[in-house]
Amino acid sequence: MKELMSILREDNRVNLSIFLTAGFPDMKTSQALLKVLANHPAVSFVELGMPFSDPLADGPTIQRASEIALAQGTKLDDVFALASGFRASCDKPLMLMGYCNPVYRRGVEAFVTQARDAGASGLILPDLPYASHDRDFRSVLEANGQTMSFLVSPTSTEESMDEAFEKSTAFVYGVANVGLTGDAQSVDRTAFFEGLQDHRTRCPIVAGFGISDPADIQQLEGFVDGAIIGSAFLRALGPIGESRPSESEAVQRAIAFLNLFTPHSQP
Amino acid sequence: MTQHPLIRNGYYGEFGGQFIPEMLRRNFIDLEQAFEDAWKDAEFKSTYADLLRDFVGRPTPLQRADRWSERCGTSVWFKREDLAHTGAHKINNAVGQVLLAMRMGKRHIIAETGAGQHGVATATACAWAGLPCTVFMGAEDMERQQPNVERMRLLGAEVRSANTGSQTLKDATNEAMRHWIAHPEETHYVIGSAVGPHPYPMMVAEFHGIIGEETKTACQTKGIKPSHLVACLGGGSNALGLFLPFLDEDIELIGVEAAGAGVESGRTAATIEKGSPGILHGAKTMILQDDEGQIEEAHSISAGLDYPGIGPLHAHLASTGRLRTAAAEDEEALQAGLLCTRLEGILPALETAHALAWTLRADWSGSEEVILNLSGRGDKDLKNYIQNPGE
Ligand SMILES: Cc1ncc(COP(=O)(O)O)c(C=O)c1O
Repeated sequence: MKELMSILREDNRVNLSIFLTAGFPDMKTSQALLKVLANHPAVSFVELGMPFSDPLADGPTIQRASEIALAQGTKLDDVFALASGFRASCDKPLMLMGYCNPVYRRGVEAFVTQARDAGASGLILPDLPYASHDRDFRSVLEANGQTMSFLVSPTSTEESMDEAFEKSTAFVYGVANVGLTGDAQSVDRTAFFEGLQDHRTRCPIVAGFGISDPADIQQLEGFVDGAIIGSAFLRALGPIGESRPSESEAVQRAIAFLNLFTPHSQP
Repeated sequence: MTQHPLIRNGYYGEFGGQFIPEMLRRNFIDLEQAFEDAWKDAEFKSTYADLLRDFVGRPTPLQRADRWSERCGTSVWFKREDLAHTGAHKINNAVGQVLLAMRMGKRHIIAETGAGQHGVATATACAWAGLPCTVFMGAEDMERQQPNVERMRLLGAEVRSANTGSQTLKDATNEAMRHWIAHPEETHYVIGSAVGPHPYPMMVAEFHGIIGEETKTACQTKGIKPSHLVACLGGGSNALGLFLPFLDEDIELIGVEAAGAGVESGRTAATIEKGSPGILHGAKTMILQDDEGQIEEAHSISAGLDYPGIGPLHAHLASTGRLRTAAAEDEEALQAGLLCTRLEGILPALETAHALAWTLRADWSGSEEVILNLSGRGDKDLKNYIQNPGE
């Protein structure tokens, strides 16, 4: 498997990452969607969302997707099983993204070991404080070859930006908005990322939150090393809530969505 | 505030902290600084004290509950927070935080509410301050606390229903936090209990500390030597307000949680008794969760106690043995509330009724002097009381 940071560093382009909630709309479809992501040339890496009952930073789409995944009994072990399946089918990096409580509940060491065994590259935990990372995670991650990526946002202070670039070991997650995942854009994205450029040599930057179409990606060209699309991808699978899409519908729609993103110049 | 002996790096013992997304970090830095400055500022404190006196109607009485004492077989005193403006202790914190928000130049106030008491208190403080107010409330709670929804609207607040999850206090809190993430600059979030990321738990406790301070003064005046302080525990604000000035004294502190249908029934809100350490709403505390770390739904007849977490200060005090916890079931609380109405002429909030219920069954020798925080009045709960009229 290729190391994520070097992929982001080497390719002089906005690497596309897709976020999907594990177990949404159901386990089997998740598995099929991951296969699509593994094979599609537009996708450089993947964020696999670990559903949580109280996702504070998520907008309605990911909230609903998490709720549906949990209602169907999706467990942490299922998340790891999905990650393993993905690993078996391609060498694209996969990050696990979620909230602190389920990780602490499992036990940090047990969790990180399982993540490693499942072939994950690392974690993104938006509600993890730096001090808790330093105390509970850092050495365990290091020992298991797993990374951590911290968030910076337009409201970040200089101190926390500095800390994010210092402590992130895959990329810094640049929250491209003042809002929740999936919210409409409310800030000048390029101005925000322009302000981060001095830090970029320390750690690659990947944009997320409210990124939804090829125009968004194009706008970020030159400013970031990657961009994550989550809510827009989940929405593209079909209306969330009423009837869930069938596996074949979801797969077709996922491919149609990914095809919008011109397969970039192949490395 | 940050100097309080209970606080170290934003933790109270092993509980507390700030488990918040980066998008909120600046707000918490600003809030902590603003509160620290304000709490040292004589002018802020005197404005706050004036408001508590003239607007809230403090001090509230410490009244001997004669017939209740007779029933319990020991001396029980009620700290009459039900007589505070809007009918519950919640107004102390609401007024304090709205004053702080004004000082910070915030232009919009948001709050979550369970029973509606904190929502009403915040809407009231906002009407006084001339600030727009949005209150998030679980859809189920809007149904069972309808009178308070109407009151908030009369006060000019917008009430937004939280339709996710259990549609109660936990979900209203999620929605308020999310709104704050999306509107960080202009907004202050007036959290309604001693919960959430640091500095909220300690700040809310400090704003309610007036309850304990007045109690102390009244005890001196009346020559009472309190042996027990009793309060119901939702998030823990009325309890901490009463306990805070007494922490270092040789007095038993009892927090009564909502057992719902029973602590072992699977339908409970007894977080300290049934829960385990975990992270909810930005703090490490005792929570109701499953093996996977998913937050479980709480259950209580009382909307103000129907919460799967507890303030981290209480989790800490319980873990060190300083705080003793008990739990009262739905039916027991209802009956205690009705009994208090008949014996004392005070219709208590269902939340308060849990603390009352415990005093009825505690093992008293007869020589105790018990102070019970009568945290609120029960007008909002009329429907429940009328549907279950007891004997
Ligand atoms: C009258 C009354 N007492 C108690 C509570 C519980 O909250 P806390 O534990 O923060 O005092 C509420 C909450 O709504 C309330 O309205």
